[in-house]
Amino acid sequence: MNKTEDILEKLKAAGQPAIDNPDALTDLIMSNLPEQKAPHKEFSAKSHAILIALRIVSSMAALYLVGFFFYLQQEPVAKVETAYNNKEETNQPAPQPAYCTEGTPREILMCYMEHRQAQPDTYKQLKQMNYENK
Amino acid sequence: MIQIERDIISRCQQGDKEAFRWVVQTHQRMIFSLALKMLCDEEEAKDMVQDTFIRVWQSIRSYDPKKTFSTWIYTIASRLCIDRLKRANRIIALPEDELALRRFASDNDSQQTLENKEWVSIVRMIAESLSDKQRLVFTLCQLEGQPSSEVEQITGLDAKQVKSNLYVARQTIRKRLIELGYE
Repeated sequence: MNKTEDILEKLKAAGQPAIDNPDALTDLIMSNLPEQKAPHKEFSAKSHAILIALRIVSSMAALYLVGFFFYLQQEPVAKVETAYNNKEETNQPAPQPAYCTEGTPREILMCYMEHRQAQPDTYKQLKQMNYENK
Repeated sequence: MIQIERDIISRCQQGDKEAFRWVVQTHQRMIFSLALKMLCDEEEAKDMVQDTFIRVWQSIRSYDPKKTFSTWIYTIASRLCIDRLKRANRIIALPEDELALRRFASDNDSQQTLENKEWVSIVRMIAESLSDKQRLVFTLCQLEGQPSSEVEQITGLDAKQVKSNLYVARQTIRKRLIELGYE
C-alpha cells in the first residue's frame, strides 16, 4: 500500500470528530425551532374530476374560438350569375334615364320638357357647337 | 428503519418537539462530522448543524418513509454545505496544517483518533484544491464511509458521476501528497 492509500485508510478509521458540548448544541437547536411548515395539500378525487372537466371545457372553447377566427378571415365568394354580370356579358346598351317613362304621352312630353328646361345651358351649348361645326 | 425510529419520526411529523430532540441527539454528530470536513471550520460546522436540523424540522412532514432517514438528513446537510461553500471564501491550507498532517502520517497507530483541529488541518491540507462536488463525494465516500448507493442518493449524482468525481478527487489528493514529499 502506498503512502496516499495509507493516509486515506487511516483517516477513514479515525472515525467522526466529536462535538465538544453536544447537549448545549442540542438545546440551542431545540430553542431555535420554528413552526413546522404545513404539508402540501393533496387534491381530493372530486376536485381532481372538476379540474379535468374544466380543462376539457376550456380546451373546447379555445378550439371553437380558433375555428371561428379562421371562419371570419374568409373573403366572401363573388357570385357569378348576378344580373349585373349578365348585362356585362351581353353588352346590352345602357338603360334609358329613369324619368319620363311612365304615364300618358302628354305626361311624358311634359316631363321631358321640364327636364330640358332644367338643363338649358347644356342644350344651348350643344346647339351652338353644332352650328359652329357647320 | 427500526420501528422505534419510525414511531419517533411519525411523532415529529405531528409536531412533537420532544421526539425531535431524540432525532437531533442521534444524528447531530454525523452531521457535524460532515460539516467539519466540508467547511474546515468548527464554528461554521456547528452553525451548519443547527441550520440542518431547523430545515429537517420544517420539512419533516414531507419526508418519505420509504427512504432511509439518515440519508434524507445527509441530503439536506450536503446541500446546505455546498451553499455555504459557494458563499464562503476558498479554503486555503495554512502553514501549521502541514505539521498536523506529518504528525498524523508518521504515527503508526491505525486506530488513531483526531481532535477537531487536527481534522480541520489535515482535510484543509489534502483537499485544498478539490471542487465543491469532488469534496462532497470524497468526504462522503472516503471520510464518512458511506456506500456508493447512499452517496448517489445524497448527492443526486448517478453511479458514473460519483465514481469519476471520487477518482479525480483521489488523484488530486495523491498529487498533492507527492508534492508534499509523501510516497
